[in-house]
Amino acid sequence: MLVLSRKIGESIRIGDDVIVTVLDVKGEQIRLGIEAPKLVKVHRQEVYVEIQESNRQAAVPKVDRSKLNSLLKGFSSSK
Amino acid sequence: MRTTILFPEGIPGFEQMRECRLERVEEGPFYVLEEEAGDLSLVLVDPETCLHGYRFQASPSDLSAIELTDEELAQVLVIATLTEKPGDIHVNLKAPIIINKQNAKACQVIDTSGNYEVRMPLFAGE
Repeated sequence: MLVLSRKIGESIRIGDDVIVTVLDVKGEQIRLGIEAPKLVKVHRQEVYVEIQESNRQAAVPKVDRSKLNSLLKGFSSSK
Repeated sequence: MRTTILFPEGIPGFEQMRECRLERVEEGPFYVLEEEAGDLSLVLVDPETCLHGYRFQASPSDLSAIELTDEELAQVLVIATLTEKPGDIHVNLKAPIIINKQNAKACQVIDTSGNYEVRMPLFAGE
C-alpha cells in the first residue's frame, strides 16, 4: 500500500482525473472531497462489501429453476 | 413475459454478469433474472410488495451507465433472498436494480438517502 501524509486542504491525484482532498479532520473523523469523472463510481467500502455479500447470498443456481418457480408461484398466490 | 436486459457493468459480487433474461412469474410480484451465459439466477420483486411509496436516491453518475435521464422510463425491482419459510424472505431495499425501459440496460445502484436496509423482511407487515 502506498502511504502519503497530507494536511487539511491538500490533495492527492489518482490517475488522470481523480482528485481526493482532505477537507477537515476532527478527532478520529476525516472529511474527504472526491472529484472524479461521472463514470467513476465512488462508494463507502463497507457499504459496497455489504451489497456484494447480499447479492452472493441471494444468488440461486439455474438448476434450481423449476423448484424456484413452484416456490414463487406459491408465495404469489398466498399474497 | 420475458425480456432480455443488459448489465453493462454487472452488479457488486457478480461484476462479469452482462446479458440476462427477465421473466415475470405469472401475474405475481416476483421476477426471475437469469444470466444468459453463466449459471446465475436471482429473484427480483416489486418493492411496493413490502413497502408503499418506496423512493430511493441515486447519484446521476450511478445511472449514467444505463443512460437513464427520465425516471418515468425506469423499472425498479429489488433482489430477494429466498428461504423455505416465506416469513424469512428478505429483500435488499438499499441497492435496487434499475432497468431503463427504453434501451433495456440495467444496473444496481446504492441508495444514498440512508432510509433503507440491505435486509428487510418481505412480509414484515403480515
